[in-house]
Amino acid sequence: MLNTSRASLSFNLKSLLVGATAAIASLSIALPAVADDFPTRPLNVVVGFGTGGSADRLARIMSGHISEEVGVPVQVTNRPGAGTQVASNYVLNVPDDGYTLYASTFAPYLPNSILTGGANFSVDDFSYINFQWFDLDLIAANKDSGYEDLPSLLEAIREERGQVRGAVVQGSAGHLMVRLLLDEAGIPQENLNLVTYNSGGEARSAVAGGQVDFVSISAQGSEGIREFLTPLAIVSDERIEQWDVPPINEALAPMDLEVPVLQGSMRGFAVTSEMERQHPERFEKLSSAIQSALARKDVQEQLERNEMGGVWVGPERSNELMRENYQVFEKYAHLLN
Amino acid sequence: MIDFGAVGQGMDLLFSSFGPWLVVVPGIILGLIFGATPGLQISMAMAIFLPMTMYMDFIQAMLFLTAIFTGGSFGAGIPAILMNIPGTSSAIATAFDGYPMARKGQHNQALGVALASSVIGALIGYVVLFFMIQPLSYMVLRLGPAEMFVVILWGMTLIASLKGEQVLKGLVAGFIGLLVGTIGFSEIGLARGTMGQTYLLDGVPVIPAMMGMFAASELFKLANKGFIVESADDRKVKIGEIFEGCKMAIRYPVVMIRGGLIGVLVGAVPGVGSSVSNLLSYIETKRRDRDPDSYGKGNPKGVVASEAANSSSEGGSMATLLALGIPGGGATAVMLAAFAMHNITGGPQFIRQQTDVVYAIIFANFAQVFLLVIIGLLFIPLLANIVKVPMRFLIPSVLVLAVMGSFGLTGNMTGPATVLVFAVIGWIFRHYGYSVPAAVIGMLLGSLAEKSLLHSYQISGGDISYVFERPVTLAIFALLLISLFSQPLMKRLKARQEAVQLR
Repeated sequence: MLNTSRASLSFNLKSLLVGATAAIASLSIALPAVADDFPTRPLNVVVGFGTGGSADRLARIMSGHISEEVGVPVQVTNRPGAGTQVASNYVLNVPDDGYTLYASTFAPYLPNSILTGGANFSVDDFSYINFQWFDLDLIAANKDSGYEDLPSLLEAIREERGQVRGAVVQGSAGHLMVRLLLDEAGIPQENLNLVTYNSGGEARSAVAGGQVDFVSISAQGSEGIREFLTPLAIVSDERIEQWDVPPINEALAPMDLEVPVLQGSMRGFAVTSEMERQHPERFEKLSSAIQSALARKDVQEQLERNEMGGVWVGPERSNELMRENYQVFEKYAHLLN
Repeated sequence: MIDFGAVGQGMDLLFSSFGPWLVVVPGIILGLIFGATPGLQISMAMAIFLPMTMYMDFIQAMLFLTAIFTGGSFGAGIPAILMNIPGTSSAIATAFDGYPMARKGQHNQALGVALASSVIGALIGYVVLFFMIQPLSYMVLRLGPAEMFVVILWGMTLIASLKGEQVLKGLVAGFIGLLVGTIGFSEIGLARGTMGQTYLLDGVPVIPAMMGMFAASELFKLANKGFIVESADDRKVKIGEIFEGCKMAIRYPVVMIRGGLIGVLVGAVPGVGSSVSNLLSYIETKRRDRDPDSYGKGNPKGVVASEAANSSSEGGSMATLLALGIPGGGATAVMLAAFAMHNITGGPQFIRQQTDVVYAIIFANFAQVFLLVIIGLLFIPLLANIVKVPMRFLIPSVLVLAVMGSFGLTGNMTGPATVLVFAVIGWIFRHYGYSVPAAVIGMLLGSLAEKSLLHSYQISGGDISYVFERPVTLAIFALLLISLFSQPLMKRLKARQEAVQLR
């Protein structure tokens, strides 16, 4: 008797406990997550490059405005190295609590470090809050090279092996674009003598001085050598006022060719996907902070003064863009070495 | 070539108000401090203070940044002379003869020589810029990878003459340096020798490695010495001797002008710059000297050659930046950011339309050079006191400084780890009589040589006949051969003559 009563009592207690925990758990799910007063301490923005580069300057300018939006200080730390791999690994290894933001030139560096740098993460390990600064690539010939349009350049490469010389930045979207063009036009890759530089400055000097016949490189920063160039195409869907040159597929129309319009560089902010999964409300907070910062007139003016992009495309579109970018790189990765 | 109307306007821009000049003195002092601290770089100083230039007008911003530049290129020579630790890679050759001078108790003179050479070198650089900014920038554009390769090869022949105990050991040291220089991503995007370490993908950071090797090998050599300078009398800081050093430098105008011209030309080439120019100038000076064996033992001409070249490189890199909008290195890349902030795009158009602004920048640098003389003379006595610090305090504190500076350089533990690893390597090298400078030059120039050779291969599609399209390449190569084989021949003749005299 006693035994049974004790057993039943303990059983009752147990079930009560289980019930209570279940109830509390269900309550906490049902309750909206306003209880989380994130952020309560300074945020840290990790930059994938050293001080003074484009991504770094963007992070520093934006950090002040993000700080105003979220109400805590925002520090910027540089973790340069290995084409942003060092920073990516660092961001993935800190706690996924939303206190670490990642600012970088995600395209082309992230796909490159995965495809050629032997990185052990994937583009899906990050969740991209927003890409705000897009660079376009320009394909331009040296003025004295005699090439006036893209088809004539491609035909010259087709005709004779080793006659045409080009310059690109190793692993950049511009590099991929050249490989892709030859591939689509059915021209053997080895017909072109392509020089792969590690800095835009050296690639631009090479084309300006006529060391090579053409260059495929980010349009921004090419303004200084404009006088030495005949622009052939801009890698974009529409005409760009600044360069007055046909968009790539329009330039290729006489050849009945169409190529994917490869996005040049994409710069912006990301967090880890794990953080978004664990703290969707914090992700939301960071995202709306960046969105409202970019909606401000003074911020836009400051970005413009610094020749930086400041568009809001939002998390969904940014993640999509990154995935697309990665897929194109993956498809043509074998052409890059 | 010179637009005198614009000269007048440039003067107006500079002297119509006191505003632009307020930033020059702080700029030079900042440059001196960052240059003279091992591990802190000139470009770092510029990047840190770049946000301040947002609130200046364009001329003022450029004056400030070029002042940091000017101060920095002299500052880097100070630790090279006093402690055998080049502050940046542009002062490696300064240490070759500057430090032996200091050990002999001539540190005051050596610093004076360095100051005068830096000042005159910077002046040469900007004078060339004033007269030839356009032709100079076009000349840079004419240089292809093949030309660069032979020029860098020329620099690498220096390794053979830094032999340490034996020629073979010198070559082995240089070769090890070369191999270390190839670690990391190559220009075609292949990772080599990284042993699976993400931190090695960018290669071994040259400056921390250099500091570790130089500093530690000094430690080994001086561990049982009390001071850098042996005799207590010589440890005094004497202004008179500093002036004497300045006068010493002026006694070698040929070395000075040659160094200055080499500096302008090499400094104007993107990606090469002052870290190569000081070596080339040194090697040429040593080669042409009647007594090449006196170098490396405290010959002031070596300091003149190196300092004149690394200071005039500033003018060269400014030419590329202003005339083409192309940054050649870290410092000019930061300046380009300042250009963007003020909505200015460097290039031929900028030079044509805003000649007055370009001239104003050049004239301001003439003035900066004289300010550097004054500030340098005030600073040197202060810095020369390093020789009074006993070794047992000096060495650890320098190592700590180098480790901290290298952390700032790489932004993570890679820098300090590199300093310490290479400190051990340097110590081993020195212990067994292998030349440390040869290894450092191998490291520095190896990757540059490989890069230009690879680009030559890519540009020609592997066809060797490309070289025959490049007369300049052939000419430099011919000069290189002459410089390599004339020396041993001369030596042999000399030996014969001596043998005859002995009889």
